[in-house]
Amino acid sequence: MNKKEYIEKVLNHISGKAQKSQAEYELSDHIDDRKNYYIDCGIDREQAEIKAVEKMGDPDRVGIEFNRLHRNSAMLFIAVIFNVLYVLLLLISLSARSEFFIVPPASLWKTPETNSVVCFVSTLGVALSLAAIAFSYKSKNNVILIITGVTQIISFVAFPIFSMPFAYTIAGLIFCFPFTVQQGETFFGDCAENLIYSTVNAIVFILLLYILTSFALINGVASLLESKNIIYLKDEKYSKRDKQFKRYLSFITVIFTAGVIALSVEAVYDNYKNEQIQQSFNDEYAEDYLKAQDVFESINLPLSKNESDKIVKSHVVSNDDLQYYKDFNTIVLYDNDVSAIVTIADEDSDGILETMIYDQMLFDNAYCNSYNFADDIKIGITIDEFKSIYYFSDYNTYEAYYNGSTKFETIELVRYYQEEEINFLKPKSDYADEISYTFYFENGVLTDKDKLIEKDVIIF
Amino acid sequence: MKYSRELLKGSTPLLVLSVLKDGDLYGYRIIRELEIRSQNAFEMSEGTLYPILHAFEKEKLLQSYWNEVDGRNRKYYHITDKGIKYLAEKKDEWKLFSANVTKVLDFA
Repeated sequence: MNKKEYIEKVLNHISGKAQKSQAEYELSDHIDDRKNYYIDCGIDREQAEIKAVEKMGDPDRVGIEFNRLHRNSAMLFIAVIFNVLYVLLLLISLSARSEFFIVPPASLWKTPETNSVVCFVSTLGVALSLAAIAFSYKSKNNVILIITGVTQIISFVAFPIFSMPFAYTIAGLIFCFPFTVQQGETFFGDCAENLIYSTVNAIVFILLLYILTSFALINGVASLLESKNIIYLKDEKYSKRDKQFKRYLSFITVIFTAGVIALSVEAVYDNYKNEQIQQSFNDEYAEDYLKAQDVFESINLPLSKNESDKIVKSHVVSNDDLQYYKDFNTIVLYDNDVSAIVTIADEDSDGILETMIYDQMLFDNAYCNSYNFADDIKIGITIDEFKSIYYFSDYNTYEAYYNGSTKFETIELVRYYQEEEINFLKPKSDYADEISYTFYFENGVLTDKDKLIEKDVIIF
Repeated sequence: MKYSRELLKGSTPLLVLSVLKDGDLYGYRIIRELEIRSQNAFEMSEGTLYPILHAFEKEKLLQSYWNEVDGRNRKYYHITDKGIKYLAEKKDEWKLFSANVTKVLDFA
């Protein structure tokens, strides 16, 4: 080994630039002095250098000693912060993406904007993780390597488990399968397709995510092994591993980054596509929907039979629809290519009519307008009347929770959607299985209608 | 004679400080001085001297400064008061330790 090789080996272990240049200067100076000493003793130049280097001892040991001395605590701090941030961001992005996490209000998390944020956060998380790996590698500090190793392994475990596809499969299996038995062929077909789609989709996605995140696992394990090396390393072997690790790190970085970029691009593209589809639906059915909306707004409950008939006559367009109206007291606005339906019906058999507007394409509006208790319940209703109507309705769809004092009482009413309603709403992007309202009674009487607050919709 | 690494590792810092007590020196001169004083008894890995010097400097037992001698810039090390105190403590500790080790070894 000549002087240059020796110094290079020592410097390999040292992280700080200033430390590097100082060690280089002193070691080089020392070897020169020793070399001159040997030359003076009569040894030829080449041999003198080799002997001088030999006299220096094990370069790895010197390098490690140096690095231990100048271990950069700032670097450690940065790497720890990066790792912690990475895990936090990962969890945030996962909880935002996942349908598994019920984060009220769920609808807030599920907008295209949030999706973009999630993409960004995930990408940032991975970038931070890579930065942490780079830091830990550069600083040759086994503490950082251990932390990085652990966080990488956490990310491996956390990412796919909490990811959306997993939640989809579970939701698909739990909520879809029962309908296939109860609802007959139409629903069976629909649902089977959804089930297969969601399952295959989930498997492919989970595999993909695991392949991607398995790099995080390899990385984590490698970091841990590397941390062991730094403690127990042996000269020659270490240099070889050192090179291998460097090569491995570049490989992982490229693959990981490429994967993340691909996923992000895919997600952004998905968002864009969904928005396009939504837009085209909106454009196509906006006119129908507006007509339905007019009818809906013109209906004032309670409605006499005559008034109801009048509305039906002015809007029903076919005999089939008329029959449908007679059977269910329901107005159908368009029979061909039905895009919007207004219904007036005592859906829950409580003696009070409900107005509903169903829009098959614009789900959000349909959902907002259907079963709006707030519109039906009258100011002045006493708490006992309220209970007699809503507590014991024929449809077993209500659960009322009561609490309060003598003066102020609160009733929480939860309305569960029927299975067919869920099926109806299912093909849309979001759907709910329940909706709840809170009613405030002052001295036993509902006094302020403005206080009727529509509560969160639980999304599954 | 070659001493075991463990033995050298424990005593080198002490030897380095004791050499520097008599005057400021740069790395190579410290080694040479050790060779001369011990009559080449210590065959140490010379590279390991520098981490020791840097560690002492960090602990403020030594101070370093650059000085140009014969056209070459040398990094000289100077023992501080704290270093002198530390050396005295370690010297006593060493003396007591070696006396006790000898006592046990020569026990008859």
